[in-house]
Amino acid sequence: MMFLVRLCFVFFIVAGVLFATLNPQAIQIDTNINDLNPEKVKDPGLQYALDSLANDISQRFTVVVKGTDKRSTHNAVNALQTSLDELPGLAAVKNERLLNDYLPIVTPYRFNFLTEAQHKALKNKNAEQLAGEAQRKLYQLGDGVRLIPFEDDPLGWFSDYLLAMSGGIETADRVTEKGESVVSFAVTFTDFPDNMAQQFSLYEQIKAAEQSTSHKFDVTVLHSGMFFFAVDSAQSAKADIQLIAIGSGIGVLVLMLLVFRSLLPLTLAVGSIAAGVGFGVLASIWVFGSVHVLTIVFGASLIGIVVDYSLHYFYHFLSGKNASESRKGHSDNVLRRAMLLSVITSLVGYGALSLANLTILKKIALFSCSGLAMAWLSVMILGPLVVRRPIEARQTMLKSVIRGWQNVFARRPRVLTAFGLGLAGISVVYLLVGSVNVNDDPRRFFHVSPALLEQEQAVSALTQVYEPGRYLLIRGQHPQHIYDAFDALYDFPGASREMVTGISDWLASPEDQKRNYELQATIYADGGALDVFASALGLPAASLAPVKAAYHAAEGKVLHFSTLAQQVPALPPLLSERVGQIYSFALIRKNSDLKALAAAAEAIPAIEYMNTLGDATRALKSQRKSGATLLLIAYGLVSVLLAMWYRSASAALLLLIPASASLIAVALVAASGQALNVFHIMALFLVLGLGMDYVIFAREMTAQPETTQQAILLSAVTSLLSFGLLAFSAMPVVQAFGSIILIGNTINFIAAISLFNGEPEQKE
Amino acid sequence: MKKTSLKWLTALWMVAVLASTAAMAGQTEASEESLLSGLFPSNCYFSGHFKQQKAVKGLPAALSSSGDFFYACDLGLVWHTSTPFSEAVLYVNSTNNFTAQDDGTLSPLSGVARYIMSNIFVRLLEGDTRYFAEEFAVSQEETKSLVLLPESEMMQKGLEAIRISKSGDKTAPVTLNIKVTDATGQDTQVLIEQIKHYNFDGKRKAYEQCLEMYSDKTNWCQVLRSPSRYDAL
Repeated sequence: MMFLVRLCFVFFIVAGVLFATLNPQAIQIDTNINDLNPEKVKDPGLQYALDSLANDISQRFTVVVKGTDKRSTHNAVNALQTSLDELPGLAAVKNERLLNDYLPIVTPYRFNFLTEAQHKALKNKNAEQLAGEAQRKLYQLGDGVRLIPFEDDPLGWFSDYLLAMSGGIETADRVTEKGESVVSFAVTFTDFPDNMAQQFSLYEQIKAAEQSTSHKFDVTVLHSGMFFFAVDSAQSAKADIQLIAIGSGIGVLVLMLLVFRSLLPLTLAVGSIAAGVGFGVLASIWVFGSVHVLTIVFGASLIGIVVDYSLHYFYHFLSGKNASESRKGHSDNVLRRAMLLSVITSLVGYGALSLANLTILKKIALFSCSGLAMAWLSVMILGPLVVRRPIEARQTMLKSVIRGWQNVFARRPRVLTAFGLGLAGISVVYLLVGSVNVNDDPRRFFHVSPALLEQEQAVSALTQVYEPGRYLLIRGQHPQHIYDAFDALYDFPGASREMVTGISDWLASPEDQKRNYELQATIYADGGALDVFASALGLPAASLAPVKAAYHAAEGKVLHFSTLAQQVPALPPLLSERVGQIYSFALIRKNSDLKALAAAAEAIPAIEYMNTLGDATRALKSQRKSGATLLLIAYGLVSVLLAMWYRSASAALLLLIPASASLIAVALVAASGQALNVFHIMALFLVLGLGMDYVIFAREMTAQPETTQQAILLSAVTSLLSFGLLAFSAMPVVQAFGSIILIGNTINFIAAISLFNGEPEQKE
Repeated sequence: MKKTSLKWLTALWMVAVLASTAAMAGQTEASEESLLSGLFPSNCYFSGHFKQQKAVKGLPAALSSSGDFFYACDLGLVWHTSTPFSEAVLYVNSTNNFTAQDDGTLSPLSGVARYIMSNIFVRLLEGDTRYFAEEFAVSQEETKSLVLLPESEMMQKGLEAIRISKSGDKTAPVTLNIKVTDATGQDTQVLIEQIKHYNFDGKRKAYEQCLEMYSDKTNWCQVLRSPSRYDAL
């Protein structure tokens, strides 16, 4: 059995090393901040539609150029678009590109479209009147602009239709504010950078292009988009990773050298860390396809946990090396029991994170559990090989530190216990009646640089016309159902079509298209307005034959939005079809009556009012509450495990240590001004796991209390180093996690080292 | 159909078609402005006649029309086509513009017509050299005509050039010739002649002159003076 385990271990290590060496591009670091949002969509079709929309948004960003001189501003736009086009994987969306894509698709269906005025004219005027008006327009100064040739649209109705939809010349792309010329344009990713390094490199190139344009043309260049948030988060996370990894690494190295005065024990510690972290990375890639950057931030703190196994192993070895053979055999068994129970409780703690409905916590749980298991296995398998060479520990220093702690805390264990429980009780009271600040707003979870935030707000003020995070979701089995729902919405009291933008603004419904086509028979029939118009202008009848033929050929043909969207990639994915179900999104314009729209959505079965921020906040609140319930369940399960393991119901009382530590930690964090969220709750699972580690080792290794305490001290120092560094992260979620574990685990350590020793004078 | 989503798409097209720019290398806006100021009207009140020839690709002959106009800097513009049919465009300001049929019916002017009236033609009559210097690249041909060329690629897709020339002096009558060539090579030529300048000292006098010119269409001048009266009319 042991042979098989070793074989598997060697296989995983070799396979992992080979995979990472031969296939390094497969190791992708993911920076998707959506992983912090709860999963709530159970409908795969809707999920697909939402993913398409989110993907489209993440695949583009907006650039705004602002200057006092209009010409300079436009020159700057042209220069910047050229510069951005030259960057790998980027394409500036020039407005003529959209028009060039759009016109050829819509033109064959031009007989299906009418403005309201044209609609009215067809109903109320005869052929002579229609022809007369068309003729007049030809003469009018400035009118008669044709988007398609005269012979394809002699009366200019289709051109008028398109132009009428413009509603004026003021556009989102040309806004003048306080005398400044403002031009905005979109940039799409034709090839999204694969990893953090490439993203950052591209970000630097974009910044350089913007700065160069800004200096050359004396304009202000702003940008906005998820890409910049992802890069900003990644950079922030990178700093955290460096802080934690380097801090933990140096801490562990110094500790090992100080204590063992040899690099040999370090090899096991470093080997187990490498095996654990490496396996965690591979498991994440296997299951999720990439490693999330926040996983690495949290994962870096694993160093502090993983090294515990090496420390306990060496201390056991040192304490047992002078014992008799029979005594040594017993000691080995005790160590295996303690190590096994320790890893199980840690796995329970970390594994519980996967119960949360947050993708990021599932990823952290997988990374941590697989990493812990592999690190534990590496210590258990490689440990006996490492300890074959003599190892000495410098125990005097550790003893004096422990004695110092015990002099402070362990003189009166009962008083300490009573004090701890009392403090926990006060914490409970404070948490219940102390108006503790709670905030589940997901925006609080991110760290965004003030400069980026300021830029985002400036861009939003200049270009954003829609309510952020709010939209209507419309479902149907047929495209016409979507349009019918839009019509019902427009007719709803308090709501109006000006409040939303959806597919109906880009394309008439299939039924309307058919109706419009039929109405235009007044124009294209023999003797109709077109013939009268041609006669007035002296045009030969044959010259109009092609357009008449085109009209007849277009009978029964309808352009669907899905076709349009396929042919015009610059259009947002406002409609998605999957397994016979159609999903459509309607964006809500700013300053709309949100209550009226919500009421309309409530009344119209096909429409759902979506408030992503509100929904996410509600879901995170629910997660926080259900997380607290799950924590209680975890305590229940561990208490049963302890009772069964020690065959004593009173063993469950050991849980009072992590429970008190948790309560005190939460109360202190809340009192320090942090608003509690789901990440604080999730950190409590680790307080439970780590606390049980110490308690179990202290309880199991009572035969060598000094050795055990030294191992616990070293273990606690490394863990606190890692999680303490998390508490100083710039990312609020990481900070929340780290601060709870820092405080909670300190209390765990004090309790473990003070409550399992009897009186100090009775010790070895 | 609501006029929203295609707004930016088609509006930019309109800009491409109607506006025109392009800078001549080395020429500053100041020198462009001085070139334009030599051609553009400088008086605040004037009237005149116009002749327009519009060539539309696909039509065998150019479309000819003619009429008269009255411009007052504090009222606006009446652009009255008399042949081949009677119709007028009333430009009051950037948001209030109307077409007036011969039967007296007024309707708001929208879309392209409004754009060209507000941003090209009326600014020309206003003598807004700064606007043209900013929006257009201006140069002078050997014939003394000013050429305004589109600057951006997008605008060049809609418009090839605008040519403006002036003839006459203190002794001979002044005429202004404006020729717009679109990207497909179609020309619209407007000849402004019989220009008569007025030296009014207020809006009221200008209004009275308007009434005198269009005595049978008094509502035109009323709307010009008070656009809010459109609903009442």
